[in-house]
Amino acid sequence: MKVVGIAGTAKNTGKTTTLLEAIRFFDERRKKLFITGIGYDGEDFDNLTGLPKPRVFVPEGAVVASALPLLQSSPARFDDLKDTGVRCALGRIFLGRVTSPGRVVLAGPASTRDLASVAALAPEDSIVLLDGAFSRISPMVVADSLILATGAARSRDSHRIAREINAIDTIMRLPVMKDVCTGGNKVIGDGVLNVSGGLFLPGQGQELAWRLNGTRKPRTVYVAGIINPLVLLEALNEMGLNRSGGPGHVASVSFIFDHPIMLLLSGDVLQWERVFHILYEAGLKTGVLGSMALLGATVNPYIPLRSGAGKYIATYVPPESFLGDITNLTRVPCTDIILEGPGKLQSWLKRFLD
Amino acid sequence: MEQEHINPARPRKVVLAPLDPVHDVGLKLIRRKLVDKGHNVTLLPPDLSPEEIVSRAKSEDPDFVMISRALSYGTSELLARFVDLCDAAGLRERAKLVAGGLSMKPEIAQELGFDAGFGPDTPVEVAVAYVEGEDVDLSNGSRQQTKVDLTAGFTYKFLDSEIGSLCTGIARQLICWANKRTSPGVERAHLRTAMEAERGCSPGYGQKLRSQYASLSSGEVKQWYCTGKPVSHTRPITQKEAGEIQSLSRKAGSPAFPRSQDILNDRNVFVQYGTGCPVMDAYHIYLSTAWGAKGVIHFDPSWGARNEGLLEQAWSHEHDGTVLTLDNLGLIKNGLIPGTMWQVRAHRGLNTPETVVLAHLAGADLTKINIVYGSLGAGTDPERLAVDGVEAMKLAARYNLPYDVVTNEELCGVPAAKAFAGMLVVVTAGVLLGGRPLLQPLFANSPEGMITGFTEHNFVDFNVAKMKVLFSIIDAPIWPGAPVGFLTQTQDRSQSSVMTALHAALALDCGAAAVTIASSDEAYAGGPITAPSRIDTLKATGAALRFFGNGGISPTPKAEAIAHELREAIAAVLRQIAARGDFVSSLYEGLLGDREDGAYPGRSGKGTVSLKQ
Repeated sequence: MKVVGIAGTAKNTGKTTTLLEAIRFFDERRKKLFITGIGYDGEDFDNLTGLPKPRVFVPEGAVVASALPLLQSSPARFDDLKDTGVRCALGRIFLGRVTSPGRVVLAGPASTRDLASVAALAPEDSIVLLDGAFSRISPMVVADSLILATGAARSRDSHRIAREINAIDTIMRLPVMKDVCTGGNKVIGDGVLNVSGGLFLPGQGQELAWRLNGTRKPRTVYVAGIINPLVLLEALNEMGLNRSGGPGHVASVSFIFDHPIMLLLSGDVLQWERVFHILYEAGLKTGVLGSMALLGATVNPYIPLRSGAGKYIATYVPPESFLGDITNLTRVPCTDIILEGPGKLQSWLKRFLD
Repeated sequence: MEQEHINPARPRKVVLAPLDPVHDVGLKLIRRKLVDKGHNVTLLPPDLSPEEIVSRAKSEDPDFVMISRALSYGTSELLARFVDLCDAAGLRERAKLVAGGLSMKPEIAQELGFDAGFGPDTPVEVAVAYVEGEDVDLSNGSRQQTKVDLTAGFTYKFLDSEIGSLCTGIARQLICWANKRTSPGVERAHLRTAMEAERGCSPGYGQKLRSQYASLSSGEVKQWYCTGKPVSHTRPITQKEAGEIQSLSRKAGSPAFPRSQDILNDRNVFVQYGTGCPVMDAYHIYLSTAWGAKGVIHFDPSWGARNEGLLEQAWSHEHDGTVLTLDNLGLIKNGLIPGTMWQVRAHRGLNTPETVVLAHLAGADLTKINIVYGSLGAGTDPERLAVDGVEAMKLAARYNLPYDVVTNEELCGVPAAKAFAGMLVVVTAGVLLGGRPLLQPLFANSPEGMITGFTEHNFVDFNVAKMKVLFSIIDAPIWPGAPVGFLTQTQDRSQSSVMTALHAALALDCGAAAVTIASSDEAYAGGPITAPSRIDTLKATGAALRFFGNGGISPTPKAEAIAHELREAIAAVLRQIAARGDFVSSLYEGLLGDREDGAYPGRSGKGTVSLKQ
């Protein structure tokens, strides 16, 4: 079983379009598909903007996990309906094998735990496609690989988008610490400082610095949970690392984090540029326990623009220049599926299959 | 996590947090209700960051984290980030995440990743029930559509002995008179029963019956039976259209009941449908039921009352009113949400007994039979409708099909006293024939109310007086209509909704067994009734019921005086009819409403009644 997630950096960044092309790609290669989503997708009109949305079509043979009422009201037909034992805001989530292709609305498990238990029901030889929602990314920890959907709905500033993609890519490429010994949500070993519960509140960075500067002089810091880059910066500042070199033993401390996604949940992702720069300058090692591959980023020029009370209109930034700017400024492969067709996305998915 | 696994007996630990810097009233209300029920509640202060809320909630190890936030495009990302933080921080291992606030609905909650979402219309009790582990279906509302017997518990005994005695005498005379007579409408009712029994069994016999049926028909209906030429402004329903209703019926198992309309759950609010197109009807019914209608009423074209005979097969009609055929009724029934009460009206025209047959065969729960209104306000010959009406009541009794007896002749200007006298006689006849009729007084600003000044200062006194007098006369169910609020509604949808809702609330407050409401564009529509206008009045009725709650509505002392006056007038009319010794002649002669009142004996079907051989 291989799991690919489609995560957005914001609402309306093109996740559904990417999902549809991914479904088509795997279906054409006769792969066993298992499709679910962590939000609500495939409806006629967006729940917030009221603007039309791409619809989700599922092919014959695919297994879909969605809230039962949505499967029942779908024009697609399903058999082998099975209760997953998981419930979402729209009812019980059932699995159904598509016997007659058609449209479906996806409403799947919202939490990492529920998503993992639903994905575990996928056949061993299947491809699991996880459809994201808004900018939510936490449950994508279940995926092996990720496609990032971003675009003008996140920011009209193509430079900012490119920087964000690069920062996310840097995080995804953090080395995996294969040699560390873990147990009970801790890293085991001499000189390890285990920080449980994450680092995401102001003041926690200062406290970490004090502990690092304490008498025990830990050599490895393992942070379990969410990390906010500003809190880590606070620690680095307190440790004096923001100044050239920094003092004493801390120059040899290694930082280990749970999973790249834990670095994407709190704070501005661009702040990681500074953090990694300081760590790099200080020669400090950084790594993660879990990993996932970033296959590429789809770029959507669409922006729903408010035009009066509760009304939105569909607007676009110039697609060619928007995509061109981003592509020139990032090392991550990018495409606008509508502008360029699905070729690049397909090449990423081929890489995923290989 | 399975909601059912929660033990409701155990106090729950709940963290409430406003993500909105100012609006935490909803959370405070929930806190009060939860604390009252013994739960352990922590309300966090406003203006904390999502990270701070997660940290403080984590330290509480709660079962539920409930967030309030007015939703907009921008703030939705904030909520999504909050959900991610809770997830990654491990809060969701145990706690359920709930979002509430303006614009929140289950679909958005799902998209954002919450376990549940409550909008501003959600009763606080629903949030409490969710916390207590009740299997609340958040997307569909909690309403279980169950049919009720509107006549249950009523004895039909007269509490006013004088009026009871007069009504019984007159009703017996009517039945005795009608028993000796027959009409094409009566004959067709028997033929229709035989034809439907034969449908698909023996084509030859069926054809013979159809020929007999055609000979008893008239106008374009007869032409269709003889030549196959469709009635003007109709066309056959296509397979695709029939399939559309089938598709809707698949959804009918899981309608999206808005929770705000739960207040109508225990109220028997009926709406009329009859767009002309059974497919559109099915959608209107679906929406109306989802928004709180307990029952729906089939409204047929006006020409259906004037032509002898009813069509067969499924038809779409270009104008108001959906053609009454067993096939059309079957299609519509397919789209009904299980538990929806369904009335097929048979009250005013030349096909009254046959419509009762169709209502029975189609599985309707109620029908509508009225001799007086049909005769004086709807164009049918009194003699004919008396014969057909009595036969229809016999059939309804045989099928155990309750029916209402309406006094819409009041709309023509007939005083309530005369209309009520007629209604009481027909109801009495119905009871004598073994049926279960419901009284349906006009509950509106009737012409009489305007002319006499009864409704000059308010619309409450006269309507309350009508209910009071009827309840004082007979122990029978009253179902005001039809629909309530007539002549108080205008082309303004807001105004119409308010008027409809207030009339409905007043009727229910008076003890009505059910109430029929119009859509907000029904009374003065220049075109087809729109689906949103149905929701307007259902929503407004829910709001009015919420507004009055258990506070009740008090009329002025004038209501009592009007009721007394009405009682005396009803008795006087009945005495006149009894003295005349012939109910049907009383109809012709204006004792139940004359030309000055605005009542005209109808002419459709005149001369078609014959003595039984």
